[in-house]
Amino acid sequence: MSHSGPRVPMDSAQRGGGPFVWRFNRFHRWTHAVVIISFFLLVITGMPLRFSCAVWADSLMRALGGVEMAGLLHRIGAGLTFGYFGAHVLYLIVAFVRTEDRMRHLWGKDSIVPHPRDLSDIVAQIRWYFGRGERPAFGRYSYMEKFDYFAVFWGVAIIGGSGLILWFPEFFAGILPGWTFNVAAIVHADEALLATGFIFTIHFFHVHMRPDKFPLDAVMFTGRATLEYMEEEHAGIVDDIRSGIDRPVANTPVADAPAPPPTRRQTLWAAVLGFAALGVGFALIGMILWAVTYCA
Amino acid sequence: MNGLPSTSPATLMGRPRAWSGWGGAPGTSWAVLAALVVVLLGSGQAGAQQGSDAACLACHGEPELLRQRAGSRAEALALHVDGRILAASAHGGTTCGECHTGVQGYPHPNPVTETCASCHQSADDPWRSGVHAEITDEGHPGAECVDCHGVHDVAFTSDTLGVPDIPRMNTECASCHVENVLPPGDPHAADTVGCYGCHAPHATRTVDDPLSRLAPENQAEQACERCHTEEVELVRTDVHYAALHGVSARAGRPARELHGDAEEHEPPACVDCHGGHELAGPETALATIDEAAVCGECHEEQVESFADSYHGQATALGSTVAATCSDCHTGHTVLPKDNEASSVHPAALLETCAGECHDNVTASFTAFQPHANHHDRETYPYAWWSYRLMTGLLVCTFGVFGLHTAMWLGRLAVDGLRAAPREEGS
Repeated sequence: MSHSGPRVPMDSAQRGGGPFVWRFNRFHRWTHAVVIISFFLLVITGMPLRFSCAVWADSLMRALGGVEMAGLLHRIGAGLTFGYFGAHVLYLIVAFVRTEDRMRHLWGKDSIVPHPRDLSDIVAQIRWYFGRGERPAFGRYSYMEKFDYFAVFWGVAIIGGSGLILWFPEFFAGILPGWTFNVAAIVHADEALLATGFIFTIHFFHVHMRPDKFPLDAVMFTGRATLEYMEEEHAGIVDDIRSGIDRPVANTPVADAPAPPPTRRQTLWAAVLGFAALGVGFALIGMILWAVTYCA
Repeated sequence: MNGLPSTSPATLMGRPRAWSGWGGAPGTSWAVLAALVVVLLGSGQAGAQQGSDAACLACHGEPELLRQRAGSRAEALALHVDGRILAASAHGGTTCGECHTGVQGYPHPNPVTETCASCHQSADDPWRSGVHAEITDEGHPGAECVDCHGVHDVAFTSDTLGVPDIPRMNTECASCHVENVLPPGDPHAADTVGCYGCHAPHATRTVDDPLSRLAPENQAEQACERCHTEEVELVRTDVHYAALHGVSARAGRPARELHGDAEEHEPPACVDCHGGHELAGPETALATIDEAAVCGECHEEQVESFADSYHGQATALGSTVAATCSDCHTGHTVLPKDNEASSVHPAALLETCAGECHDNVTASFTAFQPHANHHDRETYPYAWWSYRLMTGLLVCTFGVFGLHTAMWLGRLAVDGLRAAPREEGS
């Protein structure tokens, strides 16, 4: 294969080299950072228990400082999760109240709310898989991104809810029957396995690992992407973006406003954090597969 | 010693012509003559026992003299008796003649050594019933009276002093049973317990002998209770103890019907859980017995479901806080949950769960099933359904998205392969 043309950047959101537009504001990015940190904390401290029969479980637990320390860290992870979840719900309310065009916020190609258009996008995507059509022109959020987003709501509700029941069994025994704890233990463990497996395989693939994004998409870290990226990933809104591209560069992240290119320093930090998260995630998937293969 | 010529005691005692030591230094010869005089005089005074012992020791207490007569240090040692050791021993008040009969003057060609049984019948009888007599009969050396008690240094026992010399007994046992020596620091290796604390010293038997102190049925009362009174008192109500003694703890079920196979599943006695020589060390004290492993030898299903629960997972990873078997079932009063005296009887659970673990325990809290088996739909329908639904959710999610991802990858791979030649051509 030849490597003619401009060098492919590590961050696939910088493909084409510019111009850049803002995609995620500071709140989005910080929320996602806290999601990453709390999620890793929960997975690393929870998996040894779930796979206590695994070869690595004992040493990982010892590295964490023992079962009691891991339990404390797990609860800190849970606290962070409930924290960002609450903050995000608050953010949604404030954003909804402040927005001028509430309908556009809730419905259509700029909204993250599921839309019938997502169904036709899915059909179009599958047709594209089989060479029966063009790749669908996704709106601001593709159906995969919408799924990822709402999966967090589902996950926090199910894992968080069952986790609270297991955290405060004496309290919940006052309002729930005893078999709830048996159900909560199974649901908590398996839903956590689902979330972990999903994030570290499916999410990692469609965001970072597919050949047109490999090895990293750092848009959630830097907040900005090139016009070329938006054209390929979110073709449905690229006309709107292009019409405003001549506006002056905004240093404050405002959706679709022209953005300054990320500095070398920002790009480097995004790469370090991104690759660290990918590396740990893949390692955890490896450990889970190992455990699943060698013990029940 | 090995290099010296061997001369049997019979030669030394019975055939003066073979003696070879007369040609020693003059001083020694005078000493020998003096000794002989004493012997000859002494033998003529029956009843003067102290004098008699002194006469014997005049020769047998002199190693140099014996060596000269025997011509070999080994022979001399075999004949030597240290008068001070003898005097300090349990046989200090016994005269030589009481054990060694047939010594009439000098030389004494036909001395006879009486058996210990002639005095110690009460020790000899149990010894004859035990395994040490059995192996002695088979020609195995080292298991007779003198092998443990010594010859002339016979120790006092509890009969005379009230305190057996346990360190010495341990040393005697260890001279053969090297592999069973307890590590230092083991509470049973202490001077107050020792081998004799559990094993009968005379009627020593193997564990598979139903008469042994350590036969499963006898362990609690005959070996452990002397010290562990409280535990044995408790264990008498335990289901395992009941089963061992042929009593059913569960109405309507034969005592030994455990998984239907009494041969393979003998009820456990003390050492089956606590270990014998190999487990009783301080590093494996009661608190750190791997209960899941010990109980799991019989209760496989329960230990499997335990391993699936938080209690089991945390315990497996080193938690000493999470409950293990005995935290709920007790250590020595284990009973089936339908027995009203059981710690896991529904009425007792409030107290059992509260214990040192859970606060504000309610009846609803105790309805949690710590041994729920999600493969058992009949007994644990909620666990079964939860497991089914969650597995279904996992399979469907990964199935759908896995396929979606694989097709995506396939499309991009095909596009990449098609684009590559074009790129090269341009």
